[in-house]
Amino acid sequence: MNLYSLLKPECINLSLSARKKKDVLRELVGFIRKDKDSDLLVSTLLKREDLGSTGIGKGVAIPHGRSLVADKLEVVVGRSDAGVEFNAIDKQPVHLFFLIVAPPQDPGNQYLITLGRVAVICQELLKRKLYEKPQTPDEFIALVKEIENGL
Amino acid sequence: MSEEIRCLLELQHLDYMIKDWRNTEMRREFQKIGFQTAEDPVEMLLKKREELVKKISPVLYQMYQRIISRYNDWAIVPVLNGFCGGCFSKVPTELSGQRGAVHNCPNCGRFIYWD
Repeated sequence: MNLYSLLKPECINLSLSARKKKDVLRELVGFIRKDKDSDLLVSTLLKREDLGSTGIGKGVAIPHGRSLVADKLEVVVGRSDAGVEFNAIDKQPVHLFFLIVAPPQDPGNQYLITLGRVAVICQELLKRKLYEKPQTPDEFIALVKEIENGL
Repeated sequence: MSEEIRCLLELQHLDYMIKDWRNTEMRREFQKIGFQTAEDPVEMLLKKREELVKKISPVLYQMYQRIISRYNDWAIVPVLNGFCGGCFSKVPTELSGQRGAVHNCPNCGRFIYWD
């Protein structure tokens, strides 16, 4: 499975405006759902965050959840130059977000596979802060593709 | 969407999360990725569930439990283009006129809501 094939330019925001956890989740969810169901999804993601932050350190967070509001696996990418207070495990602001939302039942557990894949790609994106380089969503996808082809 | 429907949806989402955290393979992968949890996540989620259940009428909650145990997938589903999102049978049009109320699919019995 390739992550780049799941990325869509319209679901990548390289200049997030939110600065707080709830706001950034709302901003990211807005790329999947803009209606009232988006509140339900944000609420689910916040419940997951209550267990322990999905901010895994070094400026990266991978919020995730299963929801009926998703009819297929969705990946949203967000980048914040200023950083977001996300209560990450290293207490540092988060600059790169990968939001993963899956329907409750997905064939072959793509949800788990995608989570693992994103974690691997994030390690590469963090090297020399590669994630800071793309200026457009298409460039970001191209970078992820380049990384995956080199793995 | 009524408050009751919203609570049932939240309950269903919470149950998915509990199921994932009870799954050994999922939990191992979560740890491998680097997700850390303060306490026992399942215990924490069950506490949240208890709080949520208090907001749902006992009758609806019993129905929810019965539907979940029967189908082992979802108890509440959206109506998509007039069809039940669980069994895909046609939902009578007269029900769509009462969207604020809690309804069950006449065919499979799952709770239905209009998106």
